[in-house]
Parts: sequence; C-alpha cells; structure tokens
Amino acid sequence: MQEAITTSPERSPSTDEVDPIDPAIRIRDLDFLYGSNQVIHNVSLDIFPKEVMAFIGPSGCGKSTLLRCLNRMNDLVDGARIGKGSIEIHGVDVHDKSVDVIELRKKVGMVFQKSNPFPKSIYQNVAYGLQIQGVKSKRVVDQKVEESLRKAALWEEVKDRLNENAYGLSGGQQQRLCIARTLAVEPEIILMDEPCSALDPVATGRVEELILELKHEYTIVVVTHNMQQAGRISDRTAFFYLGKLIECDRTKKIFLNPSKQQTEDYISGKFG
Amino acid sequence: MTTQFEHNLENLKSKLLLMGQLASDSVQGAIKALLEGDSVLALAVRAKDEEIDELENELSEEVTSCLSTHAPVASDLRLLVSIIKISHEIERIGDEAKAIARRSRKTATPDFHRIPKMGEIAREMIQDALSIFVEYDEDKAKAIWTCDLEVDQLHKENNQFCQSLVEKDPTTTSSVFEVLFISKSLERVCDHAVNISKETVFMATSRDVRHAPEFKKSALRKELD
Repeated sequence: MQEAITTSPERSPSTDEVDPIDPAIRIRDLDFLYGSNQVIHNVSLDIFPKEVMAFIGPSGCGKSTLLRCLNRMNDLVDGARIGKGSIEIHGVDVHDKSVDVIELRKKVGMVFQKSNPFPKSIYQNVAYGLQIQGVKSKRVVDQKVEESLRKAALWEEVKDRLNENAYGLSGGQQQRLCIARTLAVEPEIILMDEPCSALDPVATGRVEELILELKHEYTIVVVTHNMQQAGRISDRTAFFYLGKLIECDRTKKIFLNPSKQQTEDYISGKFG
Repeated sequence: MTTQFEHNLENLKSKLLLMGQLASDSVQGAIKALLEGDSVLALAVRAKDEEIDELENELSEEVTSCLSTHAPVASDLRLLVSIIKISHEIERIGDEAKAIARRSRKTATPDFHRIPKMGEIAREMIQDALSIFVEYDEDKAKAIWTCDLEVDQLHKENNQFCQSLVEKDPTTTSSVFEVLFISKSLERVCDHAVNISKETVFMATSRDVRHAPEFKKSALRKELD
C-alpha cells in the first residue's frame, strides 16, 4: 500500500501544536481505468480544507482524470472505472452506492477549461442551480445571485445588465460567471480544470486573484499546465507522471527545491 | 542536446567565475603593490576594478533577461538568484582591493605586521568560495567560515600592534591609520568570501544559512574552543 502523501499546508506554529486537520479529500491507493487502459496507478493523497492544491504534469499523466474522479464526472465516460482504492470526502466514500451524485456535484463543483455558460441571461446562469434545487423565493434567489456574482468578482461589471445574454460577456467574464454559477449552490470544494488556459493575461490575473479570495471559504483543486500559475495560487502542488503521483509538497518547496529529479526536470521544462 | 537556456546559464557561470578570478587577482595585486611599494601595480589594480564593475552590470542584465524570458524554477532559479548575489559580493571585493591599492601609495611603514598573512588567507578564501560554486562541497564551505575567525584574530592583532606603534611614536599616526584601514579592508574581503560560500549553500541545497545561529561567528568560535 502506497503511503499517503500528507504534507499538510503551511500553518502557523501555534496551529501546528493543536489537533491535526482532517483532510477534506482523502484519496487512497487509487487505480483508475478507461476500459483496459489504466491511467491512474495507486495514488494516495490528502487535500486539506481551504487549501489550493495544484495538479501538474505533462498531458496524459492522469491529473484531469483524477480531478474528475473527485466528483464522479468520469461516470459519464463509457468504460471508465475504479480498479481499486477509494476517494473520501469528509469521510464519505464518493463511489459508495448510497451516494447521490447530484448532491455530490453540488458539494464538489467544477469549473472547466473552456467557459460554458448556458444560452441564457447572466442572471439565469447563476440562478439555474438554485431553481433546479427547488428554491422558489425570488428574494432568496436574487440575494444568492448577487452574493455569488460578488464572490466571483463579477457583480460590479454586470449588475446593470443581468438580463443580457451571457454570451455577450468577454471570455474572462464568462469564466467568472461559471465560477459564480458554481458558488451559487454552495459547494465546499471547487475543482478547476485549466480554468485560465483560454484566457488572456488580464483575465487570467482576475481569475487567479479570485482563487486566492475563494480559498478563504473553499477547498480548491486546480489542474494547470502553467507552472507560474501553480506557483502563484496554490499552497501545495502535486506532480503526476504516467498516472503516478511522483511528489506532493508545499508549492514553495516544489518550485525552489523539489525532492524528485523527475519533478525538477518537468517544472524546469526539460521534458513534457 | 543543450538548450539555449542551458547554454545561457553556462555562460553566466563562466562570467561569474571570471569576475571572481579578477577580484582574487586584484586582492593579490593590491597586497603585492603595498608590500613592494609598486605604484604601477597599484594603478593596474584600480583599473581592474572597472572591469569587475562592468562584469557585474553585464551579469545583472543577463540574469534579469533570463528571469523574465524563461521564468526559471528550482535549481535554475536558485542558480540565477545566487549569481546576482555573488556578483555583488565579488564587486565589493574588487572595491576593497582598489581601496588597498589606493592606500598602498600613502603607507610608508616598514612593518605591516599580520597583513601579508591576512592577504594570503583572503586569497585562499576567495578561491575556495569560487571552487565550491563550481563543485559544491559543504565541508569546504564550513572551512571557509572557520578561516574567517582566524582573519578576525589577525585583524585584532593588527589593531593592537598599531595602537602600540602610535603610543611609542605619535608621529606615525597617519601611516598607522592606513595600515589599520587596509587590515579592515582585508577583513571585509574575507567576510565577502564567507557570504559567497553561504550563497553557494543556498544554490546547492536551497538552505538559507546566512543568519543560521549555528553558523554565526560566536557559535563557530564556541565549536572551535
């Protein structure tokens, strides 16, 4: 059994002396396959509450697959299955038959590489999740829409055009709208799969600032190919290669003095 | 295949070593000029300082360019940060050598007491610091820090010697002061060599030992005792 990589996020010395933090996500000995093709090999990893964890690694290393395992997005892929191991969120095995996947995805929201607003108004995009949850009170929905747009740092830019089509927003604004849509259903964990890869540097900067704000309230897991971005926004970084977790440590350590040569070679651009 | 970036790093390392060698030669030249009263050599040392300054400027510009265009991480980042810091230390060594060369023309004392010995140690310390930049050796780094204690002791002995000279013959005060300043310059040269070696520890291991209590002079002295 692979020993879990549990380097905890940086904490003040006084915090270190009290009880250790329980992980928000506990991955143990995970194997994952698409048909007969095993793409994740024996991964064990803890992700702690209110930390930003970055997953890095070359294309095909399994980082997006692992991310999608966390809220069972892979259930939608034919032949995708767990070989062995488990993923627990706050102690509950997410692949247990009793788990309601809709509830799980409410708790573990996801933001994709390409912003994917619904072909509806800005307001409707954010309100949608609440409405399908059965929230009927317009006052409550209005309040939640404003709150979510404020948290996503978009309110000031859209407050006077909430009824306009979301497609009229810029790429960066659309991505922040998708984040607002995720926040509206009050998740605990937000998964982000290369959230800035289609954005220009200014929009990227805004989303990164937003991630740094959101981490005060949410646990965030980000897949990124941008090493500098991982360095800027994450507390810890996990490096994956060929489906294996090679190293996970504090981001500062990974980018200054990684323990494994493979990690150093990848982040220095020597392969991948 | 060597990438352009790796090629740039090798060039920067070579340039830093060249700068270090020039500074080491300058210290040696300044002491020789002092002991032999060679004013031509003293002038050459002062000219060499300009070359050292120019290399520092070049390194600073090239490292900045590497940082901005390649956004290096891990050992590459540590190397570049260390090059900037070490080049500054070397530039200061060049300045001290120039100061010694300038003072050599004003000093007329026949007895330099511990200065020749300090000059020898200083040069060795610079060479050792440069050699661990090329090939990291932690024991050698620690030996440099211990050498520095010896230099401090020699500087102290120079102080006492100069004081006794002035007490015996107050007319020598001006010349004696020059010797004291030279002794202080050499003591500083050795401090810069120590700083270079501490930067190489960071470069090689990412440990910042500059202010580590166990490597402070008082702790090292206690260890030696």
